[in-house]
Amino acid sequence: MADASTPEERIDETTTWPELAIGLYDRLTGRGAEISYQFEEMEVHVPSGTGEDAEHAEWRLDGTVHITTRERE
Amino acid sequence: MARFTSRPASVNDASEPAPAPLSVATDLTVRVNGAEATVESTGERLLLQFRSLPDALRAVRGQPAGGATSLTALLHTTDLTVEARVRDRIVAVAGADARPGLVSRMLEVDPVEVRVGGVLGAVGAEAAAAVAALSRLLS
Repeated sequence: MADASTPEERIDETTTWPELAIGLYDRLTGRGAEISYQFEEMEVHVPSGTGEDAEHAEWRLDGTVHITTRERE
Repeated sequence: MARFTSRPASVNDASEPAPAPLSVATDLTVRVNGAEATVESTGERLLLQFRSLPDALRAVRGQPAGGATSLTALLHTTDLTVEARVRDRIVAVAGADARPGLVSRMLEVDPVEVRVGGVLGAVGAEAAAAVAALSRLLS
């Protein structure tokens, strides 16, 4: 088993939200970079679980999100 | 198989710095099963503003199983806090600044902090709004 050493490798291997955030941080930090998402009535049906009988909640997103990094305290 | 060299922050360990502190700016509207919330941000704190308690509860019911735990882990990793408000009253806090107590454990929403005073204030504000609406109808 080899350790991922680059942000690119890490972001490909994300399996949880914290891991995704760490990958995003690695990509953005130190570059003064910002990532922006613009949603225009984006609709997502979010399942309540993984089974066949899972219910789906309807999520709709409209607007913008800008993400930058902060210094570790 | 590759694995991560960075580890997510422990949800219970507030003494260690977050491994990936982020700053978020939003101008966003979110609707979950028809319940609308505006999302504003102060950088480290996301403010979800619901119109009513039923809207907030409908949004909570639209979360996937384990959603609160995943969200909390993400917020601790990124040193972010989400604050849910109803009628300008803070009813719940999740993430870095949340301090869940007995009420949260009783309601089984731990690690989300429930603000009882805020909930009662929101209920009172909704009751007052309902009375005012009824008065307008009858006058």
